Amino acid sequence: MKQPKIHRIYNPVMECMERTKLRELQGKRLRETVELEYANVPLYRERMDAMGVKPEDINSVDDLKKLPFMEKTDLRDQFPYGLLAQKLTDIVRIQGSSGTTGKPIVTGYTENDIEVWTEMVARALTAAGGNEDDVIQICYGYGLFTGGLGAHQGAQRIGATVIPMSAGNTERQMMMMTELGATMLCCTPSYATYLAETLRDRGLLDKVKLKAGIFGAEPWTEEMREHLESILDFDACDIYGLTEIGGPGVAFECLEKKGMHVNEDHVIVEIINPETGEPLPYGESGELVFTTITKTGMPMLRYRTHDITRLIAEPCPCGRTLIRMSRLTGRTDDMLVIRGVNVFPSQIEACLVGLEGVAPFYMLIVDRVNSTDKLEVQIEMSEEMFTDKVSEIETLRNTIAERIKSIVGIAAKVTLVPPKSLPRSEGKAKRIIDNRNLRNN
Amino acid sequence: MFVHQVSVYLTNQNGALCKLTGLLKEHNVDILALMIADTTEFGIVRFIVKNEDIHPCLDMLKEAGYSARKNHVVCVKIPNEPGGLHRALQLLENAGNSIEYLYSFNYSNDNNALIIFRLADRDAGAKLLIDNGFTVATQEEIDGLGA
Repeated sequence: MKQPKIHRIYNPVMECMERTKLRELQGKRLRETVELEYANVPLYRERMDAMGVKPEDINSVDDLKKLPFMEKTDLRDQFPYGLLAQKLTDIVRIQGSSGTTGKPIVTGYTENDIEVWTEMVARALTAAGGNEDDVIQICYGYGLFTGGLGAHQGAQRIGATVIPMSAGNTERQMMMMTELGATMLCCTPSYATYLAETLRDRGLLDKVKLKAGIFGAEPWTEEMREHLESILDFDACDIYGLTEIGGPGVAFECLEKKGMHVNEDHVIVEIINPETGEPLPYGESGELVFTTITKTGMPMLRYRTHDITRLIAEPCPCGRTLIRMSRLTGRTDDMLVIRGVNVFPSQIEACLVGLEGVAPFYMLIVDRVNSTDKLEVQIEMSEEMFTDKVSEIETLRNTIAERIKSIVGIAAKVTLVPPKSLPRSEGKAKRIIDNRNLRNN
Repeated sequence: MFVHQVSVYLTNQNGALCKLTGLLKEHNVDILALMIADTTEFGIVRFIVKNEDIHPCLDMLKEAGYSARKNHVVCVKIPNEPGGLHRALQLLENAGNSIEYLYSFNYSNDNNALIIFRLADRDAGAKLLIDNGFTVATQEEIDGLGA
């Protein structure tokens, strides 16, 4: 059942702080973080030195623009511990995700960082109506991926009853959801849609007690929200996060469902022009950049997400003063999110390198079939690859599919196509056909 | 003692085979024998043409964007009688020479069926069959077939 629009706030002091006070707090925390980073992370110190910036130059949020950026490639190049600002003794958790070329990226959390992350998710769940009376079913994967454990910690923090299902096995998910009377659901929006449609098709909807769901880890649209809410008659809220910044909960929707509040006492959000790096005013569309100001294990300063969105400065009727970000409208790079997994074409390329006779011409085709993302990788067959024996071609396909599964972490259908059949382009190769229509405008 | 075979990779799409045969027709290539291996995702068409057609045929296929190659296969004359094929297969089986695939010609020769064998060990298989009284067709004999 959809809830009455009553706005609950987990931490009113921080979430509703007067904005000038919030900026002061951000400035103070930013300075502390820069000091920590400058003292302990050689890569960032060198970058600051190269720009002639010292921690003493950072005295308010306005000074943020003096700082150099950080990128996903930094995490890859400094893998695994090069960006830690603490001794490994003080790191209590590692989380991670796949990188851009097959090498994973990992991030280290201190006890403090886990606490920060937990509270961010607790705020998100509370904003969606969650409290100690709720039974929360989590079907994000548990493991290195931040989705499962992140949602779990937050749900436990608000005193709810947690069902840690992890991902997959829809039959069991439906059984537990109906038998245990789950009232909230945490998973990817595409899996939520699949679950909802399957529950409907099985005639199980009258046994479902869901009042809300928080869905993230992949982009989705208002149409998907309407579809989900029309089936399940509940509140479907968006949540945003990324491993590098701490996991899910960096930003979350309240029941107004008009943009995600950014936890600004823990992160500073900027929108920049992706070409020039210049900060853009509120309301303009550009690349999303985050600076963590409370993390101690692996703080990130001006981390470029490559996600495109805009910020909404107008006050929200819910009472939070935290700024909101719109749904993502795209990427500045060629990253795809498929079933919650970040996929770069360069990773697919890495899977093909070293396979005898495999030409470097490939194409990723993503479709959404029955609410589930399907990835097809088309690879051009070279002369050396082709044989008159079916078994040899099947073996090659299987080898490629297994490599993709182990390096990228996603099952893909591999199709070998005739030579020169994939489109050639002058300049940057077009590697992706995304038929899912996930762009919000 | 071997004959040339042309193999072509086809994606599993409506009309793919028809497009291929159209191309062969256009270039006046006579298909003497043909076999298709089909999987859910793709197919491999193997066929036998006359010696004079092989290179033009491969060039034309590559020009048209196909993955194509030629290889040598054994073409065995199998007596047109019950158990004829079985005797050949039993010999290969006893020798542990496995068969990747086989298919028959559209033509016969002196009351023999012409069967193409793709063997794990082609040379040993051909010798074994000849030593046991079978004859194999040469490319020249094949060239005499058809229109």
